[in-house]
Amino acid sequence: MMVQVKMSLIKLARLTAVLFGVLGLAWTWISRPDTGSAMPALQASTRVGAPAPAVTFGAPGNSAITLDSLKGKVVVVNFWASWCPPCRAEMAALNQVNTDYGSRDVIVLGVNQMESEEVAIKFMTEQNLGFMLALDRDGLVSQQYRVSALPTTYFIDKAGVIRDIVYGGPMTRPLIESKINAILGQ
Amino acid sequence: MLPLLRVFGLTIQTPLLATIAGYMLGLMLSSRIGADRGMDGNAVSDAGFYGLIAGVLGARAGYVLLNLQAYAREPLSALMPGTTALLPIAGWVTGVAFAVVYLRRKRLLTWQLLDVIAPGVALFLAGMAAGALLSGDAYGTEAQLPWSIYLWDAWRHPVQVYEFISLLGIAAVLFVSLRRRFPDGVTVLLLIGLYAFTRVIVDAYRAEAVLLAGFRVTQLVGVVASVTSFLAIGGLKQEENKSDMNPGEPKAPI
Repeated sequence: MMVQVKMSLIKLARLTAVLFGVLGLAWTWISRPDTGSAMPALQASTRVGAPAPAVTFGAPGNSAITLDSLKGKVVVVNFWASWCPPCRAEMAALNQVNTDYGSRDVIVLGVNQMESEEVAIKFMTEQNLGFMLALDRDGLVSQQYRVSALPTTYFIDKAGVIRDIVYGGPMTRPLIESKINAILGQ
Repeated sequence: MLPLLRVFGLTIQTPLLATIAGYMLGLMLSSRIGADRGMDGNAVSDAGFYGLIAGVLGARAGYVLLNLQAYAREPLSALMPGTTALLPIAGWVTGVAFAVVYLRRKRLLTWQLLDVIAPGVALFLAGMAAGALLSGDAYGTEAQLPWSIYLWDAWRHPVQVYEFISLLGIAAVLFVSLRRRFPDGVTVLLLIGLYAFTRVIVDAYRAEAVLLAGFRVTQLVGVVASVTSFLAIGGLKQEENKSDMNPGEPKAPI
């Protein structure tokens, strides 16, 4: 009797295998992506692999910087504020990378979040920082880039596609370099 | 999507938190089931805990080795805490290898043990699916459904939720299967078979996929894995029937 029950379980397992095989293949066939038609262009979004949303940052002296104008360079967009300890802790590393990789079309864009131009410039002067300063005066760009904690850093490739995002910090110089090297090596 | 949570000035990465929660729950469940079945529950949880630590260290070591040129100038920065400088594949390999070696040394690596940890693994995978929902990773195709979620600027299939619910269901099935008198190895094969088939169904709604000859690779692998697992279950039962007829024959180890 017990052997009979076990035999039926063997049949059940084999039947399930056949059923899953047939249904699985059929579903894989039915649900295959439509590669015949052209794939739709990726929408700009703040996720890895998507084109970075086009934004205009404020800049010192009431000027402006657009992200589009930096296409053709690897851009490290670092959202920071002078009151944020991990932001301050990674500034020297970002500055060093900006200097070392400048000749390889890599640029660090430090986006100060909602502080006055005077405060941001004073901080950068005191710290002897030479990378490009952008100002997110009203916090709208931070909102668009879903910056919910400082620092947040986006690594954008030469085509304007987001390749990595680092939430929090401080980032070390080797970490920043490794992210940039990965982009340059692609 | 809620990748970061600020609590008392502390920034918490919620996807990581969900994954760790799934892992710890799975580990607790596995060691409890193991103890109920007369195994050394502490050894099971120790293997999981040490495996986790080895995995984290392995992931960091892998990342540093992969970027040796950058780290050579500041080797101490390899010790900086953080979740960014990790190579996941290196972590998986190191963690699993460490747990396997530990369990072999304790002479615990048996089909019975794999059955015991199977429901816990399902919970861990459910934690990872919850983590993917929080980070917005592994997102679904666009769809206007009553249960669609708004993610990456569009209404989409909540594939992470589909996977999460499926895995809870699978964990329940595995829990029930452990209470039946099935041969050793059936529960872990059920996990592989059911999870693989879940991926065949759910991955049809994922927005991003690696393709092979126009088909999603995960679906193809899923079909093969689910069929193989259920055929293997049939094979295990057949083996048991044979050994029932020849009770003196020793059972083969893993």
